[in-house]
Amino acid sequence: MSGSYPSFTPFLLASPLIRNAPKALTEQICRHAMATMHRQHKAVFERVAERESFALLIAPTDLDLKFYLKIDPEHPELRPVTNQTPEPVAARIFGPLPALLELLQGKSDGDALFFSRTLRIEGRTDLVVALRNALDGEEIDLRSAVSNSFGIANPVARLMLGLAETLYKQLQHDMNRTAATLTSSIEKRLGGLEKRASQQTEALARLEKSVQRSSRRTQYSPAVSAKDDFALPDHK
Amino acid sequence: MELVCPAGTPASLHAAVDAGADVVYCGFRDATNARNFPGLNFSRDELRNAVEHAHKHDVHVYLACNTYPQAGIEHIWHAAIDDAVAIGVDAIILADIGLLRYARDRHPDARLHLSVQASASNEEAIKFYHREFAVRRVVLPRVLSLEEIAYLNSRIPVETEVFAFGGMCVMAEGRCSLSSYATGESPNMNGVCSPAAHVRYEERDDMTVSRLGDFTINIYDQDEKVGYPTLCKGRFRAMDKSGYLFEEPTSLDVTGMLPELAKAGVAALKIEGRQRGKAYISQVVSAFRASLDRIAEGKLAEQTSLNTLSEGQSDTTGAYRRGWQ
Repeated sequence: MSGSYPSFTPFLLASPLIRNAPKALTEQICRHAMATMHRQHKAVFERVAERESFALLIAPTDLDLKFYLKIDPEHPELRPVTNQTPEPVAARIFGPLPALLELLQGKSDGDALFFSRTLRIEGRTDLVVALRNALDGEEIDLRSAVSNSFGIANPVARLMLGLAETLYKQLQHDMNRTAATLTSSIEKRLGGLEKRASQQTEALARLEKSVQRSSRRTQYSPAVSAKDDFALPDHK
Repeated sequence: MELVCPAGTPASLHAAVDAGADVVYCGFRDATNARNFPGLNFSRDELRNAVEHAHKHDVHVYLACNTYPQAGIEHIWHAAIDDAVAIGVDAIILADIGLLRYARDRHPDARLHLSVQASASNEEAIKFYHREFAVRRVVLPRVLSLEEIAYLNSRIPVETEVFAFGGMCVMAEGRCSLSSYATGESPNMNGVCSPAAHVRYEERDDMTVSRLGDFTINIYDQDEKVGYPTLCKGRFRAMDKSGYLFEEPTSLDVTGMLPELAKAGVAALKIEGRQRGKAYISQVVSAFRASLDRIAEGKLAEQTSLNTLSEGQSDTTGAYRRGWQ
């Protein structure tokens, strides 16, 4: 995945902020998120790690940050990792953060995201499938989980989250329009090239067929064959 | 027509009920059903709660016990049948004649359906299952045309259920050994086709390689949709040409022919996909519910736009309309 481009989502714009955030803060947020998840949805960990504990690398393609996720019934772990300290993991999951969050909440179909190549998986597919199935079996509501973390400030947090979501959607809309504007001329040119390539492929196929037909006529012509096989020797 | 919907987890069952299913079918968390994937399926307690929830909403629950028991451990399948009856499911879907006999003898009041895994596709076969095991419904294999289904329905004393949406099989249901050849595990015996433990995806430059066991099943260019690597949907090279030799990765969708299926006497429509998430189930079941309701009101059903959910992200009417003939 090293050569692939980052996903064009609003999280990409926030990358410099996230990248330069104090490591201790990111680690604390990850610890809190995992503790909340473990407390509220323990069944996920029990179901998925029924046979073995394992670790995954979660790599949002719109962030300059990857996460180490350890699935263990009693001691699960989520923490940011840097490229300098790769750790052994059973599988790696790549995809834009919004898609990963929707998948976590069961709002998107994992298979559909995978078929469309929004998500990519490397390593132990069975463990990723098991985790997906276990998560899908729970009712996970991120907005509630986050706002509840603010205790008595819950209503304020909920309001702020609502505003952030609206802003996010507007930003995504604007980014899509910008991307469409930037790529439209290239897409037109590509479309033209594809059309010409397709026409030339068809012409080539027609030519190939015509050569094959003509070659068959030459090789297997009954007249020639009869003459070769049955004509009497010429004694002249 | 009854809308029969899949559920791999209790949350999916709730989603199917909310979306308008008439029936939800599911399986126990073991090799007794043909979707034995990791993290999927129901414990006994989960099924008990699921049945209670479904019945509260006037929705029925069927239990799929449709793999073939392995010699010496038949008791696992027998326990599944006994527990399903005790929990109060509305029908048990079976394929193996030994299990059908067991269910008929031990639970004469249980409603038995014949799984597609039994591959009963002609009048005599279906009559045999009805006569010997009191089967009340047969799930027809995906090899039959609409005309053949209509003919069968005029000749057999049982209801028919047909597949309406979802992944396609190579049409050798209950008899296919491709997965077993590649991995040692098959849908017929172990309840899983191409088990995920044998599946690998590798990124090579801009290409994605899918592998099943020791076999490369496909190499996808950057702009191609990816599929799950089953041997039947592999892209192979033969006689200097590469292509899908057995079957293309495409999904069934019969929304456009629902009135014709009703006219052919079909009693129930089955949506495939117990291995899929609740988002898939919500969208597909809602779309089919809306179509069936429109037809019930005497209106035409609109073609669904569900192909973003399907493998290969394209759809077909399969053998119902044999466009290739």
